[in-house]
Amino acid sequence: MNKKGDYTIGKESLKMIVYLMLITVVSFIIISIFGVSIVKDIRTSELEQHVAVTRMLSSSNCLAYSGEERVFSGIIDLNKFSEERVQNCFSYKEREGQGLLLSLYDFNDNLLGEVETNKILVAQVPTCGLDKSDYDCYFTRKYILYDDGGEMKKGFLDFTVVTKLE
Amino acid sequence: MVSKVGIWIGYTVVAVAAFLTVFVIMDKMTDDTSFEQRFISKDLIILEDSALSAPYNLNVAYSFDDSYEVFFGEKCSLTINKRETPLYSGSINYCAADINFEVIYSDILDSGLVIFDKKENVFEVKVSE
Repeated sequence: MNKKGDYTIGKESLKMIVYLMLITVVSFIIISIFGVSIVKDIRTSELEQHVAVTRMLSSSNCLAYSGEERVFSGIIDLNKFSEERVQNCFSYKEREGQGLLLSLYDFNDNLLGEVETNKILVAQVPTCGLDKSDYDCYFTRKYILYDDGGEMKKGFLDFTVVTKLE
Repeated sequence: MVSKVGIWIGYTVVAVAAFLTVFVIMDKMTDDTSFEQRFISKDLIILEDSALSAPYNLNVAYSFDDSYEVFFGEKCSLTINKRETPLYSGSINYCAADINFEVIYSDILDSGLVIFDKKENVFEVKVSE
C-alpha cells in the first residue's frame, strides 16, 4: 500500500530528463561565457612560417646545396628541387601543420619549376584573405643562387606557406 | 517506489556534481595551467623545428618548470601536461618531420630539461648530457 508522499519513478522520469538537460545547458553556457573571456590565445603561425622557409633554404636534406665540408644556405641545388624531396624533409600529417608551395624562377622571371607539399592545405590559399578564415598564409620571395650543373645562376624562390589556425 | 524527498535529494546531488565539475573546469582555466601547457608545448615544438632546420650540428638545451612533463611521440608530436594528470589532458603540437634523420628519443617523461642534439643525420632528444 502506498504511503502518503510515495511516488513512482515513472511519473517523474520525464521531469528528470528535462532537469538533466537544463543542468547540462546551464553548465555549457557558464563555461562558454566565462571561457571566451579567460582563454588566452597563442598565435605562432608567423614564426612557424619563417621556420619553414628557413628549413628549405638551410637544410641539406631539403634544397640547400652542400659541398663535402659545409652546407651553403641560400644556394639551391636544382637536383634537389623535387616534390618527393620536399615532402621527405618537411613532413606533416595531412591537414596538420603547414602546406608549402615553392616556385623557382630564373633572374628573368621565367618559371623553372614548382613543388608542393601538403596539397590539402595549399588548396586553401584563396580563403586566406577572408575575415573568418581558418588559414593563415605567408607569401615571400627570396633572392637565391641555384646550382645548375656546376654553374651558379641567380634567381628567385617564391614561398607560399599555409598554416591552419587553431 | 520512492518518496518525493528522495527524488529531490537525488536532483540536488546531480546539480551539485554538475556545478562542481563546472567550477573545476573554470578553476583550471584561470590558474594558467592550460596557458602554460600550451606555451611550453608551442615553444618547444618551434625549437625542435628550428633544430631540425639547422645546416650544421648543434646541441641546444631547453629548461622549463618541472611541474610539467613532456612526451615526444610518433610523427614528430609533442605533448606537455601537468604532472600527475592524464596525458590526454595535455597540450599536443606537431613539428615538421624530416624523415632523413634517425630520431632517437630517450628518458623524456621525467625532467624539466630537454636537450636537442643534432649530429650529421642523427637527431637525439634527451634529458641530460
